[in-house]
Amino acid sequence: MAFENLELATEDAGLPPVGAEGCFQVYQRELDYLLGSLRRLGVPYADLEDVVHEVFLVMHRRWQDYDRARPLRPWLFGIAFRVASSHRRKSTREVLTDTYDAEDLGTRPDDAAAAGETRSLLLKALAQVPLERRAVLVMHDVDEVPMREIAAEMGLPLFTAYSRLRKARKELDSALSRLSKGGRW
Amino acid sequence: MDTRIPPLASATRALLSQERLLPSADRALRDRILDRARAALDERPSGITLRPVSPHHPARPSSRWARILLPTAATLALAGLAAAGGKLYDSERSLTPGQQSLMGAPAMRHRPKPAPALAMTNLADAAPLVVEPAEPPRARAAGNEPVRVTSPSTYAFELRLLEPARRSIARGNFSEALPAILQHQREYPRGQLVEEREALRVRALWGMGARNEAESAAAVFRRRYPHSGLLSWMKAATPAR
Repeated sequence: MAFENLELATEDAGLPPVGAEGCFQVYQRELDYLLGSLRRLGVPYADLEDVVHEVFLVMHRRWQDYDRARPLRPWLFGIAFRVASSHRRKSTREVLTDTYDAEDLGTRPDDAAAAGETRSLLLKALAQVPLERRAVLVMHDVDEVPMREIAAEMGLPLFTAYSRLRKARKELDSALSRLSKGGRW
Repeated sequence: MDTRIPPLASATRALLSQERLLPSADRALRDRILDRARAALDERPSGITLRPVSPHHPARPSSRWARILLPTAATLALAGLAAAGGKLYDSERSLTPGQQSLMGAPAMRHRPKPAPALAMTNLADAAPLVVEPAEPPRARAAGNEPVRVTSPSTYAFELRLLEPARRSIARGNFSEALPAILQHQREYPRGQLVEEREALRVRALWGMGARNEAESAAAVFRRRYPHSGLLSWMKAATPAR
């Protein structure tokens, strides 16, 4: 089967297209999802453009290995999570202030248009949940990914995934109530 | 297995559900991001291929070697450059004009040239775009040095972008180094070789005779990378005050 025909066939079946061009199309379609996920994973707005480009490069590199029978977004989130973790570690190479997250997660024009203060508050509260647990919480409670899929994508035992979700929910609730007691909600 | 999860507070649940309804990113940002991705697909050099790696398996040995060897090679090259810069400056100072003429063109070529007026007007472009606020550097414990995280593919791209700058400086054509430095800044503003790029910028500015700009760029560099040795040549080049 010719390459072009194969690409059309997979698209017709509702599966992500193959090849570099297919990878680019999926990236284009899922760009908003990736940007939102990276923000929720604590990537500062100023670094968003670079980090999402890194995600694209990884995505492109692994595109051939992606199992098209599995849902796309958990796979994309897994890449975004790893790139965001790496970015966070790399940032420690430079001199940063202690208030890195709190400052950079402040309201930006796009966020303000989206949900204003409440979103800024949620991002600040999420920033107080450790990244590994935050990733599970965001996948489950925002993206509505089943726990088995999350565990498979993150390479975790199912029990560990549940444990992380449990802790993350507690941490998020208490972070939000702390912020609300501070008169910010 | 305990799979009971405490329910979220209703307010928290409402906030999280709002996250699913986010509008699109602004158009300009989207366009920039997509252009960059398209360019990465179109301009990928033939010598570098992105080998597929299974997301659930650790890097293969060759990738591990690349992770070790590429940073080491780059560090050695840049350390050599820094040392050469210092030696060059010393040798220029210690030579008499007669000796310099005996040395011929190379020594004269390496002499820092006063920057032409046109080039000086462009120094605002050459200066770092991001100026960090003057904050005291965070203290780091001896065993707590940050680890450089490398991605072999992007590392190779960054190295390829900066190589002309390094070559120009080594030849003494300092002003020719700036376009490569600016291009790296545009394409990888927070890349893996930012430290090396900024060191090259300082060297280029210094070589062009723009001492004030070089010193202010060096001050920013030292605040950002207090443990870096890439500007050690400046100690020899700067007279004691």
